[in-house]
Amino acid sequence: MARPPHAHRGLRMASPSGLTERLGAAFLLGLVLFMPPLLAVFGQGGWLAGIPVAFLYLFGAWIALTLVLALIIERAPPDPAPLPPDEPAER
Amino acid sequence: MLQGWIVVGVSFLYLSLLFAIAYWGDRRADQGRSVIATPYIYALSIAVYCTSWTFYGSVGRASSSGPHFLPIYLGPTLMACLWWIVLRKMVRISKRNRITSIADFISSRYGKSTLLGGLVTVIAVVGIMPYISLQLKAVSTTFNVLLGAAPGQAGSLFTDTSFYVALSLAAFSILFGTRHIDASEHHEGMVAAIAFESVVKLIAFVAVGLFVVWGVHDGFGDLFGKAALDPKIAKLFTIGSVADHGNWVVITLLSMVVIVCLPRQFQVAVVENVDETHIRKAVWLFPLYLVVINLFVLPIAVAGLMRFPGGTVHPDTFVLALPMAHQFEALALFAFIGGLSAATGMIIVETVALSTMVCNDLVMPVLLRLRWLKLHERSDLSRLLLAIRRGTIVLVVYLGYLYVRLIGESFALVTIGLVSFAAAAQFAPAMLGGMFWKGATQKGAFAGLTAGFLIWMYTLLLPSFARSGWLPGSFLDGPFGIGLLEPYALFGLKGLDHVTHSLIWSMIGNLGAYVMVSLLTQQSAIERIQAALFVDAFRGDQRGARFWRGSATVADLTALVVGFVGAERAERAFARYGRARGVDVASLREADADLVNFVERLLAGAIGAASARVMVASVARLSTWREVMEILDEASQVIAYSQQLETKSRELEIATEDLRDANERLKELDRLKDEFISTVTHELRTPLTSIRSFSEILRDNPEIDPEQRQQFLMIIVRESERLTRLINQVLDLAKIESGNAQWDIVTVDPRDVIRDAAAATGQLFKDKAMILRLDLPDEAPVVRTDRDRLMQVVINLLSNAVKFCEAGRGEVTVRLLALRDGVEVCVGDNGPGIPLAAQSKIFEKFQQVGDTMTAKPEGTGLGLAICRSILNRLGGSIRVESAPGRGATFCFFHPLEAQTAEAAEARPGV
Repeated sequence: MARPPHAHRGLRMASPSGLTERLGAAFLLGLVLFMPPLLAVFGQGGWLAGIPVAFLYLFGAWIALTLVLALIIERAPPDPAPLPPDEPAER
Repeated sequence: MLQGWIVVGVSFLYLSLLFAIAYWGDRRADQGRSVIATPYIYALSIAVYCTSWTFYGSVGRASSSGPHFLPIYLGPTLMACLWWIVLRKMVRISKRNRITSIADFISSRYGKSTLLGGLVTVIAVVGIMPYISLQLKAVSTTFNVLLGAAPGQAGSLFTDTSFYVALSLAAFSILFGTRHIDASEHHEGMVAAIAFESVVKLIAFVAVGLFVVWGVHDGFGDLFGKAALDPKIAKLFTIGSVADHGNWVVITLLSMVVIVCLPRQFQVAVVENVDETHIRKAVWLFPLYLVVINLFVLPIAVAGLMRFPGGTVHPDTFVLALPMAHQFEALALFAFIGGLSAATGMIIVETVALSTMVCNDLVMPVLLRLRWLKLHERSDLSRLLLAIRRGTIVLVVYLGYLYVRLIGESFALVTIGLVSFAAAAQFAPAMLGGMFWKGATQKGAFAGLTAGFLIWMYTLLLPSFARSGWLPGSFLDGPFGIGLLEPYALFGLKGLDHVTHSLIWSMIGNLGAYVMVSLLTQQSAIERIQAALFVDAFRGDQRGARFWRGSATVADLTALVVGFVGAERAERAFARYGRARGVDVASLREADADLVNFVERLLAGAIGAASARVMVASVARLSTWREVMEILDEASQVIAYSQQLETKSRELEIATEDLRDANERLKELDRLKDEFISTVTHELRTPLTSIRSFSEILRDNPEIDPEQRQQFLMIIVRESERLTRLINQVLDLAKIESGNAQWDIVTVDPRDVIRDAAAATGQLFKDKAMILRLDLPDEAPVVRTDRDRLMQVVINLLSNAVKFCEAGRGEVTVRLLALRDGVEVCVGDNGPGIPLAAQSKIFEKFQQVGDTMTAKPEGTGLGLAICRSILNRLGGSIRVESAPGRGATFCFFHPLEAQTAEAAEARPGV
């Protein structure tokens, strides 16, 4: 998924990291994985290597999504615009 | 069986350890060496989401409906994907505006409305009460399980375990959460303790899980294999029917929004956030935590069902009962501590969050309005604030205890928790909507929250009262026996889970009222400013957009701040402000708008945005309506300017592009003109040279014989004629192309034109002994055109054909074809033809087929160019069809009505 650092040089593009878009895509992936059409397919019962398919599928998909999130986050460049110092924090 | 004193002793030790950690965390924070400044602690503190519900209730839920305990954790996983967008914005907004609770957040967004803040607080307290009672119930039940006592026996107040649990947890929260009033409401010690608790409960639960799967059984395969033999248990491995899918989806969406809407989640994720970038790691660390803590829920449930058939042990207590049944009492005690940490973590954070809300958004606004209390004149209010908060904590915990005494016994843990979830979800439209929709109004938010809360009460809370006998049981059949109003089947909507049913109706009411009323009402000036601050949180510097333009004396402001946060803290805050701005605040008399705003935000941290505004308004000279409108005007003008600039720059870009294109075209035309001139000059020089050389011969050789002289003179005359013709044609072409030529449009029969042209060129054909055939139809449409020009075209084509055909063998045919919208004339010859490559060029000026160096050109090279120019001006067209060796056919089309000169002008140049 690596791409050249300045693949887009538009005037007003989204943040250069594309982090927001990727996370949005991960969210959609999660919706697909955990919502009925696919859920119904794997939720009917059945066994695989002695383990219920529903159990295998749900946790497999969950771990996979977490892995995708970790990849997206850890491979993105650091936040380009952290909170500007507004005023010193109160203690 | 474990001895009671051991359990109590270990619990006490554990709580002391927690307190030590919290104390240490606070000490380090005071020294400026924060222990929570890492994303790992942040993610762990968010895991306060996993309460006793997760620890005990999930197993209970899994024992009755299989995977249906999972949506509660899948929803937050989905929301975690969006945290970078949603949560980060909430953190940014909250830091900018010193927001310390959900009530503050919503009231701030909708014009710092006191009413709205109060409403949110009431919903939060009433809605979260069942959730707190769930924790108390879990702790006391599991305590009894550990001691081997029968669960559910509630004796007098003083023998009831949950009473003591409630008491000790209230004390704990007070010690943790309300040690002093803090303008930013950071409780670093508490966060450290919560993170520690998250680790403890995770390890405890996983330990039980490992014990059940590999200690009692022989791995997953063995456990599930045995379970498959019991059809009732095997059913737990499916998701179920379509209605179950509906519940699944609704609960997933519900838990998705509550992960940001629950007061305690807001507290740890937003208020206690010390660094925005921590959110990044939490995006995947938190889902990871959820996966791990849920991995063994189903195995434990299945193992419990097999070990305790017939319902002798409540499924909610399997986590403890399984190790106990196998005489692993130390593990059971560890699991109990895990459950205790899950419960305490939740209660501590929740009560701290609620106490902040109740104090800042409910009690203080009321007290401040009671003029006879003269609160404005009191010098130290921070002790009052602390007292209110501590009182609130006791009250909330006690309410939770009452709920569990009166109602809780008849419900499973998860059912109680979902009631609270449904209440917290009512905040979602006003909160999330307010962050992304500028047009949402205060009245809309108020209407939405009220509608959602009332429907929630009617369809979830009151029926639970009725079921436990607190309200007459007939309430469940609908008030006054009206079947349509049945609380669990409102308007006849049956067949759904109670929670799903309630959520559907309350969300319809909530969202509907929120959107409709927002669309129908107007925002006040301050609402508009706040809306912009929230929605555009990531856009540029917002310091300019402040409400206050009034001023106040520095003395008044200082007194105000000292009153709420104490003299020492106030002095430090002003000193910092002075350093940042380069002014000495103490030396000022009149405070400018900037300082007033600073004070307001400082106070907002301590007493909430709405109250802070009231307080500041009491000492600041209020800005007039006109001034507020000026601020707005300035802001909107700047926006308008920037939009204009954007439009301008876009237009400029387009214009530049156009200019570049035009320039290219001009350059090309310029090049063509140069070429034309040089070709014309070259063409003129050839006959001139010839004329000159023959004239010189005649001049220098007077004795030349007359016959030769005659011949030379003939050449001179012919070359002069050619020169004249060339010049005429160049002028002609220039005239046509410049559009200056006179066009004399008349009605003619094209056949006459062709016949005349054939007659005019008859001598040429005779000279070369060639045949000319006219193939004209009997009838032809008349066309309106310039007769002479059209004839010139035909003559040019005919003489062109004569030139290129071999003498004696040439044959030329002229054919006329009547078309629907004009006529087509084709002149075909049997000459050598034109190579394909040359066909596109022959209509250009001075382009002749054949090698001009070897074969002497017979024409001027302008004939076809003139034809094309004329036809273009008349609205027609010309083309050539030819193959080498097979002759060439030139065809031109002429419309029935020649175009007017004006229209022709508009056509692109030739």
